[in-house]
Amino acid sequence: MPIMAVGSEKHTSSQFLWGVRSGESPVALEKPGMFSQALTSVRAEGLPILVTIPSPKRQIDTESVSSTIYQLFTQLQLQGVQVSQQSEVYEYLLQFPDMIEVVEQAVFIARNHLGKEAQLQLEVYHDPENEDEHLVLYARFLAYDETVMEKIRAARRRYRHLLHGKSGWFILTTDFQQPK
Amino acid sequence: MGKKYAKPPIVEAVCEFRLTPETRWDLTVPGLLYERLKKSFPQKEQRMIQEVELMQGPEGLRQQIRTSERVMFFTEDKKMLVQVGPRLLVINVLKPYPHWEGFKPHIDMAWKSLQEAIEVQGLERVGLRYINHIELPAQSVELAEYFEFYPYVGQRLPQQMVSFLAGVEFSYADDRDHCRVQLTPIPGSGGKSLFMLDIDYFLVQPGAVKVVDALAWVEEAHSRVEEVFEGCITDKLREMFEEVK
Repeated sequence: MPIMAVGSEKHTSSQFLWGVRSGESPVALEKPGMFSQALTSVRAEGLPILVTIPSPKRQIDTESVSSTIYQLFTQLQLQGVQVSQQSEVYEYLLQFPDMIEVVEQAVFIARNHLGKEAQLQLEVYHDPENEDEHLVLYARFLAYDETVMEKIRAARRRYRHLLHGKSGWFILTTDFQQPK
Repeated sequence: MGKKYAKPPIVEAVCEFRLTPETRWDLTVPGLLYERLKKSFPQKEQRMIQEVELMQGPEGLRQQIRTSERVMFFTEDKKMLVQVGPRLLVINVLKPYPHWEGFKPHIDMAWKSLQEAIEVQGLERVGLRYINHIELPAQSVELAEYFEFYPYVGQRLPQQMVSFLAGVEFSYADDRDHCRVQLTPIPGSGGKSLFMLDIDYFLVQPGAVKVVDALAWVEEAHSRVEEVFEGCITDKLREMFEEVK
């Protein structure tokens, strides 16, 4: 899934912490209402976008994996996904940077299959029997029935191919707990 | 030559070259570069990056979706990568930081490989960025004990902060270069305090550095980044990082 960022090559952008992109745009500065209309229009296409805050200066930051990870966190937040122990997830993705795009796309697939009623929480799972760890996306519902696992399996089939050749691991599952 | 530390707080170092629009670029360039880099960077991936451009026109606000391809070459252990996009070359190294002696040769290799593949006409921007994660042992800390750069809060304001973002931008080389420094706490760190110290030294004036001088600029940028880093921390932090003498 492509990363969507509201910005412009002419009006270059700067990234602050947590992946919030700040873009200078005279339109946004002078007519913030029009800017938010554009964001709404883009959202209507069903594409998640990063939040953009107008800033008074044109800035480009040197690109970094760290910034991409924080952008991902912001993107997940926009999709209503909680990231538990953010620093742990950050460390995992820094260790396995080829998993960043996997998470981005797999979470999008999960949300599409499970709907808005699913509470999604991303965290690092530590295997108690060995030193293995991987990313797990927990889906939690107010009520569980036989369709829950069917939907989870369907989502897994859709994202499974993304994991081929990757250095880390990701799994969508449920622990049958109530949303937190 | 700056200090070396046994436990450097660097989580990522990045060197980026952005070329001027006159440099001819096409879809074959990443492949040409890969042929030259694949011994060191054998793992290849690509992704599409899209940006929505907002433009004010006579008919009103217009949005345009711009798509570009980003190709990434990883080392076997995925600790280092080269990213290639339209007129963009980025070399990232992830922790553990191999020190400058381990990072610079890969910058040299990637840059020289690009010059062999295409005729670089000019440098729009060059950047050298160091991202540090500094973990302090307690949840509540006195910033002045560890940092020489932090936000100043006057006495009539609450002295306890739950979060902050401190940033400055310094000018170097007659304003040819700038160095942006940011310090902020990182959330979700458990019972400890974790801070990100982000130092980004970059060329501000497009074309002010000749193509032949690019690597010399990177070397100079590294010296400036080292100076700024040392200027941001106290001896108490240096002890934690364990200087190698």
